[in-house]
This record gives sequence, C-alpha cells and structure tokens, in this order.
Amino acid sequence: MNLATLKPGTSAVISEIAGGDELSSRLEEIGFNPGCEVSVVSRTPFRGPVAVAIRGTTIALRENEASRIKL
Amino acid sequence: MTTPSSATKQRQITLVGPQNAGKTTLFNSLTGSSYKTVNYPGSTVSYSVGQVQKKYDVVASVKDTPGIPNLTASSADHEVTLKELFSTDSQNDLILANVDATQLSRHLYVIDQLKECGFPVLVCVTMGDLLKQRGKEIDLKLLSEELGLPVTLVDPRCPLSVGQLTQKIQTFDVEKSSKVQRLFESSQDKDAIQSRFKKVEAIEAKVIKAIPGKEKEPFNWDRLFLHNIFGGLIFATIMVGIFSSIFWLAGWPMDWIDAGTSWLMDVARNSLPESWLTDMVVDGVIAGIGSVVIFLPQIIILFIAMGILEDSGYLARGATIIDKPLTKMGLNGKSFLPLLSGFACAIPAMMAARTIESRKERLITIFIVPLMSCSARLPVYVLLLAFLIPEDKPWIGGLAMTALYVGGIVVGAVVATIISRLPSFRHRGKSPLMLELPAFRKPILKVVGVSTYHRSMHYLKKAGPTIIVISLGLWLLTHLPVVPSDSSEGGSEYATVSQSYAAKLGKVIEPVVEPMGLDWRGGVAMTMGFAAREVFVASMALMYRIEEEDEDELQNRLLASMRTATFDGTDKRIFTTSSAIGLLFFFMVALQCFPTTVTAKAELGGWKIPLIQLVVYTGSAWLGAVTIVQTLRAMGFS
Repeated sequence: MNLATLKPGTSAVISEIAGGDELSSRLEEIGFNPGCEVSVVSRTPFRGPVAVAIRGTTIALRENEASRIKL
Repeated sequence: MTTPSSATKQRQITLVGPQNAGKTTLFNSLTGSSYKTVNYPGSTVSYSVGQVQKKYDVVASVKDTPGIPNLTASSADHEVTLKELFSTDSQNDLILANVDATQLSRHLYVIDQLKECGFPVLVCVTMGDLLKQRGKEIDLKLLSEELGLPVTLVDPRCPLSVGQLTQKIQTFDVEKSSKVQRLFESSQDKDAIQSRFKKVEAIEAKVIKAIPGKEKEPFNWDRLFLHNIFGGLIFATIMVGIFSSIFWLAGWPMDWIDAGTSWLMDVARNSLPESWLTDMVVDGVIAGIGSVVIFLPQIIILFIAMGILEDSGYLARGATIIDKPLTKMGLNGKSFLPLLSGFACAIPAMMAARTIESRKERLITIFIVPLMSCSARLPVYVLLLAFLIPEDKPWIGGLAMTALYVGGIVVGAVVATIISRLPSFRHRGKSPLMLELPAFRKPILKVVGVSTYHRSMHYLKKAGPTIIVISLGLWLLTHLPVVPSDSSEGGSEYATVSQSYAAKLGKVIEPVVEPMGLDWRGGVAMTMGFAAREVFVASMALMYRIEEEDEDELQNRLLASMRTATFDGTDKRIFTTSSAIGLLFFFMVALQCFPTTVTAKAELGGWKIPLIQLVVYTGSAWLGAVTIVQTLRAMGFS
C-alpha cells in the first residue's frame, strides 16, 4: 500500500520511502520519514496532485511522488 | 552608511528559515515599504534588503534570503542562501530564524543545523494564533531550553508584536567569537536526516501541548478548495472573476485618465505660446505619459488580485489544481504564477519562473509567457475593437476581448505542447512537484497594498521612461526635416509627416506591412511598438495627425482619423474590417517588446532561445495577419 492509493480522509503511518534515489531523499528531507503519520486531505481533478497532511502542514504531491511513499 | 566607530556601527540582520514560515512578511513589517530587491551577483536569484523602520529604534539593515528547508539543500535559490550564510565576507550579526508553530518538527530541522554551525540565532515562532485555533499551545521557555537558543513569539503581521521583537533584537548580545563552521552532511545520508528529525520530533512532542477542553480539528478548507469537482469549479470562478474585474472595474478610471490627458493637452496648448516646442510637449510628452498611465488601473487590479491570492494562500492551491493540465504541455504547476503574471507584464513573469526547478519546464514557461496578453496590449485591443465594433453593441467588444485573451492562451498551450515533444526535450524528465500549501489566512489589506505598490512602481519605472523617450523621438522623426511653409505642399500637417524622416523609414517598411493592409504610417507605428507595445497607440495618434480638435477624447479623435485615413494619392481606406482584424491577430502573437527579449536573455543565460522566440512569434504573427487580411478580402470584406 502506498500514499497514492490511500483514500481521502484516511490516515496511515509511513513504513518506507522507496527508490533510494534523489527523489526519495528529497521526500525525506521535506519531512516524509518512516514512522510519521500522513493523511490524504483531497485529490484534485483528473488524477492530479494529492494534498497530503504531514507534520502539521499540507503538501501537494503528484501520483508519481506519492506512490514512492509506502505505508 | 557604516562608520568605523563600533558604537554606531550598523548591525546586519539576516532572515533565514524554511519557506512559508512568515519570513517575507516579517521582513516587510520590519522595513516598512522602503526596501529594494536586488539580484545576487552572478545569479538570477533576487533578495531584498532594507533598513529597520525608524519607529522601531534599532539601527540595523535587514536582508531577506530565499527560503531554505535545510542547510544541505541544492537548488539555485538554496545555494544563494548558503553562500550568504557561509561566505567569508558576509556579515551576519544576527540570524532571525522563523519557524511555524503548527509544523515545528519540519521547521526546527534547519534551526538545529544553524545552531550546530554556531550562528547567532534568534528563533521567531510564528503562527501562534493558528496553533491556538487548532486547540494547542506552545511552551516557549521549554523550547528555548531544549534548543539552547533564545526564542520569541512573533506575529509578523502585527506592528505591536514586531515592535516587541525589535526590543529583543536590541538587547540581543552577539558573542563576538562565535565561529561559523559549515556542515558537511550529505543530502543522500538518510540516517543523518532521520536522526536529526527524531531529535526535533522529540522537542516538538515536549513543547506543544493540547489546551484542555479545546482540542478540536477545525474544518480543513483544502477538502473543498482541492476537491475533485468543486476544486476545479472554484478555480475557474476565481479566474473568470479576476479577468472580468480587470475589464469592467478598470473601465471608469481609464475613462477619467483619458479625459484628464486630453484636458491637460488642451490646457498646455492654450497656455503655451504657439511653437514647435509646444507641439512637442503636447503631442510628444503629455500624450506619451498619458499612454503609460492609461492602463495602470488594469495592472493595479491584476496586481491586487495576485496579492490577495498570494496572501490568502490560494495561489499554491491554484498551482496544484492546474498542475495536471500543465504537465500535459510540458509545464509544471509552478508555471501558474509566471503565466498569470504574464497578463500584467512579461518581464516580472519571466523572473517569477525562477522557482521552477527543472530547466526544461522553466524554459518552456519563459517561452510562452509573451503569449499571455499583457496589459500593454490592452490599449491596442481597446482602440482596434472600438474601431471594429459599433458603439451600440458593447457586448460584442467584451466577447471579442475575451476571444483575444483565450486565443493567446490557446496558442501558448499549442506552442508548449510542441516544444515539450521536440526530440531534444522529449527525454528530459519532468521535475517532481512537492508544493507546500500554506495555511489559509484572511488577506491583510496593508500587505496586499504594499506588494501592489511595489509591483506597479516597478512596472511604471520600466515602461515609463522608454515610452516617453520613444514618443519624443517619434515626434522628432515625424517633424524633421522642417518643411518651409511657403513651399508648394508646405504648411499642412500631412505634408510635414509625409516628407519627414519617419516617412523615409516607413517607405522601407511598407513592403512588409502592405500585405497586412497597412500603409507606411501604420508600419512606423508598428515598428515603434517594438520598444513597448503601448507606444503603438501614441504613434498612431502622431502618424495619422489628428486635426479635428472638437472631439474631447484622444481615442475618439484617433478613431475619426483612422476612419478617414487613405493610402497616399488614392481614396482607398487603410483601416478596414480586414486590416483591423489582421492587426489584432498580429498584436496577439507577435513578440513586439525588446525589453522582454532582453529579460529572456538574462533569465536563460543566452541569446539563442530569446532570438528564436522573437523570430518565431513575430514571423508567425505576420504570416497569420497576412492570411487573415487576404482571406477576408477574397471573401468580399473590405
């Protein structure tokens, strides 16, 4: 299960950030770390970015980025 | 400014912190509206510097740096902040580091790094009110103990609170010997990132406490504003609202400015002695200034709207909503702000594209920005539509105006799609979107006002001098050499123009503009438009010398002379339905603005792309205009 498939309004705990490349370390840098609680606030039209609540803020991620975040 | 005596030596305060922690708002409050934005040497990243306002009783200059999530970040913006912090010749007597109380663990990350490097940091906790709304409170004393740094709560939007901060700044003593060491933590080192996050998470858990009995989750407005269906509808409504207010609200002040300019011209003409100097002042200077000021209302409305979108936090939502369609064209959600600014002026719009990390997406954004109909095109559109559309049917004008704006967007979308599919671009990956959505806030009038003022002034300073110089130069071109009034043709206005240097220039251009249905005079006006498009209207007024003085408005006089203008020596009308439509298309697409080309060169670091842009847009505008004129004529339109 990953963040891209999480239903809006539900929350889960991050288990890992997949990939091991620059994108995954950037996700970690901005605060997506294993053990953190995340929830999906909303999904934008036409499978656009997902608004994700994490560490008290909201961050918009595209499906590609969100799918890196395993729950 | 600085004196050698250490007692009066000015202190250098540097604002450092993550994005969206209220850094720039604090900067604006500290400096008032008297700051300037400068470019970092050798880079396109700009920063603001200013003096702390006198009322705060602190002698210090303040520098705002680009927001940075940590001290190992690697984008161009971030590099500038790092240079500012670590370069040996930069003086940082005090680092004001903002952190948002509602997302402490994310924001304390960089604070912890700053502390480790040994900077003299004063931590400013912002958004305390927002935290309270969420039913929580922060223990500042404990936070200060945990961090080992002085901590203060600030509301950057409240003058009283900023005043209290400046008192703290005054008593803040800098340890003279504080040596700064650069951190060499790799951004690839996941363990290091994690352990630092663990540390700041523990601090957050200690200092943030729930207020008993008040714990409640307020409604998250993003569930509505980013909703699958309503999100798109709200976005469309806001955009339509902005653009209709640009047209409908600006109409009145524009009429006043037009009337005021004509009044001033009459007063000047009547009170000054009749001479060529008077003509030059009236037709060259006053008309030139009038043509700059006339579209200021529309620009101000657009800037106010952008200020409100920015200050309320909606801008990031707009970028999120529009991201998917934009990625289809090789752009990015972050292209939204540059493209929107493009409707005011392409120059600040191209600069706003700096926040786009991927070079490909940034380049395409800069490439299509000039297709967004900027405010300089408005007076041209207004004039030509007034010529085309009968006065009793103003709604057709509104529709046609919308079509011109939408037309520019459609052409921009097509161009972007083509470029992103070019072989040399196709394989370049798109940059990720990780856009922080700041909390929604009620926009503050003063904040919006100050940003509108700065943007409008920037615009006036850029456009004003060019336009006045051009209209003066054009006046001279159309009046020299002096035709003796006793010669066979002398005396009449037309004779002066037709024997001037401008006419000689025009005859060279004539073969190019003739297929568009224009004569040499229209050609000269169009050429002058390359300095700035709005010059076109003033040039038209000069070239088709307005002789009837009984009309009270410049535009009506110009319309009347456009209706009667004929090709030299014939009674064939120049301005007809077909040539006016052709001109409209030309203005919609052509890159008629040298300052824009110069800006594109500065932003992209080379002439190649800006020149391609200039040739492609102007060439296809000409081709399109010629096709339209010739087709319409073949179909029997005049």
